[in-house]
Amino acid sequence: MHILSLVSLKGGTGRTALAAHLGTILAQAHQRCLVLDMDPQNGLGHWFGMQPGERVGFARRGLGHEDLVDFVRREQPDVHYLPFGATSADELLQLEAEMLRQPDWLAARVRALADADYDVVLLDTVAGQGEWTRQALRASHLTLGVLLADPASYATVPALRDLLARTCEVRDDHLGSMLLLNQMDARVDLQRDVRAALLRAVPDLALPVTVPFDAALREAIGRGQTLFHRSPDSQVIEALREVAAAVVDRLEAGLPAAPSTPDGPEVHP
Amino acid sequence: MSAASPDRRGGLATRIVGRTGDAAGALARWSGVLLSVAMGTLFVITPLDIRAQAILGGVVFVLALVLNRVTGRSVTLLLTFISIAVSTRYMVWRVTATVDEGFSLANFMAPLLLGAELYTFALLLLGYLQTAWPLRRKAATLPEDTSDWPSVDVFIPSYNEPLKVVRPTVLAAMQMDWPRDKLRVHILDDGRRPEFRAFAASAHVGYLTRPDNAHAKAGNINAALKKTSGDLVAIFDCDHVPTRSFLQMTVGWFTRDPKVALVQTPHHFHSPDPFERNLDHFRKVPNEGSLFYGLIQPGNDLWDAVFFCGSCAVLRRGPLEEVGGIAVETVTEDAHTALRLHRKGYKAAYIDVPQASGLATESLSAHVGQRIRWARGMVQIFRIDNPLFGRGLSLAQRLCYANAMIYFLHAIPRLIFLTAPLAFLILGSHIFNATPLMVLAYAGPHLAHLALTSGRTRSRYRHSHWAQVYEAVLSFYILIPTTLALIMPRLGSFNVTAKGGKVEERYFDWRIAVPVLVILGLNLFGIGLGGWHVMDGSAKLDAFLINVFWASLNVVVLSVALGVAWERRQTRETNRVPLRLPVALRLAGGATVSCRTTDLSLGGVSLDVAPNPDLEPGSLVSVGPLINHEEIPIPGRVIGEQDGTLRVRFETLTLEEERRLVRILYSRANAWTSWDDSLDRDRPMLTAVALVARALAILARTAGVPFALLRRARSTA
Repeated sequence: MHILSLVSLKGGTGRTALAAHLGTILAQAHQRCLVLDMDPQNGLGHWFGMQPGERVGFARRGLGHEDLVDFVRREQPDVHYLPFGATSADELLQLEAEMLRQPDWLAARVRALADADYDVVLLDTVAGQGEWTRQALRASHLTLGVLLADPASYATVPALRDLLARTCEVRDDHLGSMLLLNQMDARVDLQRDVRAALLRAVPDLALPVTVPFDAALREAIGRGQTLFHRSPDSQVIEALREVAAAVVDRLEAGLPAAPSTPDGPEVHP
Repeated sequence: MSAASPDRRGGLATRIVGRTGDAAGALARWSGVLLSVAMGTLFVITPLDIRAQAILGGVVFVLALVLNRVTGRSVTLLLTFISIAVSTRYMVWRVTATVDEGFSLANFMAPLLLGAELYTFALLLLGYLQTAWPLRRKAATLPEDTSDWPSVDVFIPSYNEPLKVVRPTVLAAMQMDWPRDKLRVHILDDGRRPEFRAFAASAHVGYLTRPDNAHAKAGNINAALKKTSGDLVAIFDCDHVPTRSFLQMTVGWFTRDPKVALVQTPHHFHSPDPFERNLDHFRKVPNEGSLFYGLIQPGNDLWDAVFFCGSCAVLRRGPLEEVGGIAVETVTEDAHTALRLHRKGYKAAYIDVPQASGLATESLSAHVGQRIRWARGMVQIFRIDNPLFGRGLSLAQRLCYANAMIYFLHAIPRLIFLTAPLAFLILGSHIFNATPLMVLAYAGPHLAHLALTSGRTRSRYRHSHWAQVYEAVLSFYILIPTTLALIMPRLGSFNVTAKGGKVEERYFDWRIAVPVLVILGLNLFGIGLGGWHVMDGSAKLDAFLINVFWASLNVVVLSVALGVAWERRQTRETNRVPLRLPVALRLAGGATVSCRTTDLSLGGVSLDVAPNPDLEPGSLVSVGPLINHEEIPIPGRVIGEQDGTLRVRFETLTLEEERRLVRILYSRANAWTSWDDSLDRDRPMLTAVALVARALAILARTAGVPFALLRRARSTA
């Protein structure tokens, strides 16, 4: 079982679309995969046909194993996803307060959940360095930082590296981090320059593959579907297959030292 | 094969007997050699009656067949020795037992045939020596510190080729992996054309001209040598587009060994030559050049006898200037220059990895014109700077160079073989003073071992029997030029080979076909006449059969040669390179499609794309091949879709886009390394059957031509 979180320091990088598609691809590659929406806006729901009225999710009930399994939605044939659920402002504050008291609140629960039923759990975080993101990073074995190929996004790289270093790389069970450029338009010289600069600056983190901008994503979300339905040939899917292969490689390479010893914050029910 | 590096050369004897060892070991080996020589001599000279000869021939051949099952170079050498022994036995018998005493005019063909056979025997021996142990040299590593790397001037000489042929070469040369401050690309424009000057300026490359065109390409390069100063000079014909790794693959040998003055790489062509196009076997049967670049040059490399082929090579400036630049006395200035470098004691190296690619000659007449130049030039060198004599060469170098030159004298012997059976069939004279069965018993093993052994070493580079076809075509045209060059070596001028054109429609090149048709007709006539003589009892059946067999082989070879004169239509001006690359296709509406190229050229691309309503003919797209995951976008317009293949023509490209396209198309280090994987395997029997079938088809088609002409004449009348 492994936990992969998708993070960005700036919003609007398209994490949620990536999470929905990456989860499906991993599932197609015979990984039992759960995508967990950590966004109070329930953005992931748009991709999986969740109706605006539906507000069922994990946030209200907490993340106890028995409760959670009930909320996992399986209307997609090959991917499971867990909505955040509707919350009032008070409930959200309460939850955050609890998390502040327990730095490994999320880690403990998601790991317990994943251990039972999944090979990979994708955590789709909200942008920024808030407590939710930190909880996700503390839980994850692998981190995928999502960037746009523009200077503003590029400028967040040092802060993101710093965050990853402090939160993830200090842990023994963290297998690594990757940076991915999303919504890339290679026809724009500046974007190509950003890619080249990123590969030069952080060659150990930056993925050479990039996910292109694709107008078909807007249409797909309008229909409440992923690209797999109408645009299965999209380069977005092809690029994410490469990303998924890199993720699986990294996970399978694993930690040679202690493959079977659960450590740190892991809790077994 | 790094063991046989050229700086560890011993003498010829040590090479054969072994490298090191104590005195007793040496004594044992030498006595072994002497014993083998004695036994070989006995084998070669002992005359036998027909039954004993047949048994000996059969037993030795079966032995060779068994040995041939074992892989390994030592076994190849052993088979070579056996083949030489059997062939020598045949030649000894041929000279001592089959030659008529006295000369009669009626039997003029007999001495001619003997001469042709002796020539072929000499070539066989030299060829075995030349390719005894092909040195598959690897690239040598460069110094760690790039500031120790030599500086390189790249020369791209051009005279009358269109700019669009030259542009990719220049753009690719600029993108070779080498320190920017140590790489200078120059266009050497003997045409002094304003558009070349303008292109050079926009691409930021050197543009060199001279007031006259004396000594053509050689003179052009020599003039440029005076205006440049890099440590090394890389030379590319203006249509030979280098890969980015060309310099890193070749220059290492210059830094490793200061005596190396030349590193040559193969000439690779990504368009079909006239043989490949007109006989429709592009990338299925090895082309005419494969044998030379795949086997002969690596063979030469063992003996330090690699020669310069005019392009796709790097030379060291110092030694080149020492021998007076590129040689100007002959029309094959490249081989002559290498000979001079070797005479001065410099070394040459050959890297057997295609690191550049060009366009093959388009039409048969252009192809023939180029081969005539090679043939004439090599014979010129043989006359005015004969490698067998003069200073500075090792015995093996002399023999390798001599072989390369004597080879081009094959025209007369080839014509003799193509007409020899006619002496009996038409004139009724016996050119062999032996019974046909005796000829079979001696010549059979000679030819069988030759086929077996050369098949073993050559099948990857030349399929069985194809040499006959290639040489049959060329021998008619090089006959007069080589003979003239032999008599008057200083005669003759340099012809530029035309490239990058197109054959408009299918036609039969009569001008080139006439000599083939004449000899073919004579062979067919001979078979008919001989048959008639057998029927009326004036000719013996056994002699008839053996001569008809021979004449039939001639008919097959000549018919296939005739097929080359049927020029096939070739419509595309830019040659598509079959290539499977992942592509991110961006549509006008902003959607993307992941697909693969099926072929790519500087003018457009074919993609395998599922039918898509947004890919109407005329719509604009961006084709973005993914090279190491990097999308390299090139704008294009959809032409149409057929059977799941989308054709896109590239729009007017900016220089930067053209540069990218050149990089994708030609610059990848492994662009051409797996090119030959599509070749069919050589199976001598199947190849023979296929050639016969092909010959019959071509004969039928050609026989139809006079009728078609007649019909047309009648309908216009």
